[in-house]
Amino acid sequence: MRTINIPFSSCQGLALQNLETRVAAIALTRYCARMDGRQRAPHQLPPGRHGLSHAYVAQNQRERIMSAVVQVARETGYSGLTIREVITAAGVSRRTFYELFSDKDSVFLAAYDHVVGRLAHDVRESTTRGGDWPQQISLGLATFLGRLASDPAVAHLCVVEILAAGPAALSRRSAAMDAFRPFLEPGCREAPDGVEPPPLAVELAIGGVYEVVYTYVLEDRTSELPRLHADLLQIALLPFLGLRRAAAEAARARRRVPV
Amino acid sequence: MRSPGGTQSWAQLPPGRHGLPRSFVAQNQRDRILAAVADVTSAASYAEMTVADIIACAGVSRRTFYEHFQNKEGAYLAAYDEAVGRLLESVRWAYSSHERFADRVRAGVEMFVAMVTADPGFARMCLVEVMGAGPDALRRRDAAMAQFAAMLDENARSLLDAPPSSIIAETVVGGLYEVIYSRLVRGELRQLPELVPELVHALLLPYLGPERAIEERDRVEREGPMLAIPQLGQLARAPRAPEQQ
Repeated sequence: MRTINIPFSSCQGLALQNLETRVAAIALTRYCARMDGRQRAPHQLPPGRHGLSHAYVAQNQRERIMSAVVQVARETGYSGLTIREVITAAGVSRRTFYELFSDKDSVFLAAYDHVVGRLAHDVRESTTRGGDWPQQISLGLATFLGRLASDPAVAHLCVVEILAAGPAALSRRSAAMDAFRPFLEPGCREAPDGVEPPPLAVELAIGGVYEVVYTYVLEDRTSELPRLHADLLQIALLPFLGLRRAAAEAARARRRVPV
Repeated sequence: MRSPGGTQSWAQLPPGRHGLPRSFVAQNQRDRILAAVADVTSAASYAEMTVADIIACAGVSRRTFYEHFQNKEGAYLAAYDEAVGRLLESVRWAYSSHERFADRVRAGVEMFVAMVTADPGFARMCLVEVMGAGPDALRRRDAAMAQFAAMLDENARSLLDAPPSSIIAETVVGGLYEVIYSRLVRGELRQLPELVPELVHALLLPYLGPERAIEERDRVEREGPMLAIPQLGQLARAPRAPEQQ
């Protein structure tokens, strides 16, 4: 059986979440089996009558376009990104593009929201597997660094290109940074006696991690990010837990998470 | 730029024959263009800024502009380099005028905060618009951040007993940047000076530990600013008149 490959790691899994899309996927797979022999890009839908619902097709095209934005922006940067390159990479017509997005800005922001939403979702999910708060942060941070490392194009879009995409993009980025606050805020209640977390601790920890990640992505060292896990964890936990406990948590992370 | 009444801005040179050497005139024009970049970016983003805005604000002709710079990006990068150079130099001066590590950090933070609050246009240009000004600008920002981090790191290594992990300085500088950046973007620049004690607290914490960082914060709160900084506007950018004639 052939599977549908949407080359957009952050989208994968999403497309098969509800029943309607599962049914659509089965219809598609059967159709693809019939159409064997014709040349299509693996992520493109077959042409002609295929029995797929309009909503499914639109969603598939939308995801392909956003995926193309991520890939193209990696090569050209936001300023060099053109709709022509996006539609070529996505394998959709210009008309289809404009049915789904109004312009370059809107598609760029949609792609950003999508990948950041996915990233925040994965981080949140991994934190729930932690027993205590420091371990939750440890797991969340490991997921964050691991996801970025496994998809450098997504990392580049979220961390570097978003800064070059104008005022609306900058406020999206600020909102995304704020989305990580709830993970750290409980740390203020974790402080042992004698430790008084600075009121700016959450902001500084997020900004600090971002800066290090940003430097690595800019220098094309995205794949090395997971190695920083224990060091970044220690720095993030320090304001909340004090020197000794933060160092102990970092040591625990070094043992648990193979680098 | 001539105003309708025929008056000139203070920083402009008199028109016609004035006997001033050519190099002086060129330097004056260049300074005015760089100052204009900061003024324009305080009102418009880098993307919105045009050469027309810059020359109108600087009071130079389009031809003069292109004698000095190739395009808007060239002028922006020159203005950025000069402004950030001044910022680094001033922070380094404040920092090195003290012996104790905690005092150095405190003086450096005070200087940084004083310079960005004294001139919001300068601050936006250095800290916000640089993010949207293309790959060359991002590389320069990266280099500037690395210099701030290196300043902190060198001192921490020589002044503290145990050598710190090398990414501490980077996260500390990045955290400070984020706090200032978000205040700038939200238009809350005036609140920054009140945050100095907490910034010192947070910066010292990874190096000195929670107890001593809190002691130092309390000390900053008790003693108030340790720097008496005269004429901050002049520190922040090339000399300019405060008002028009």
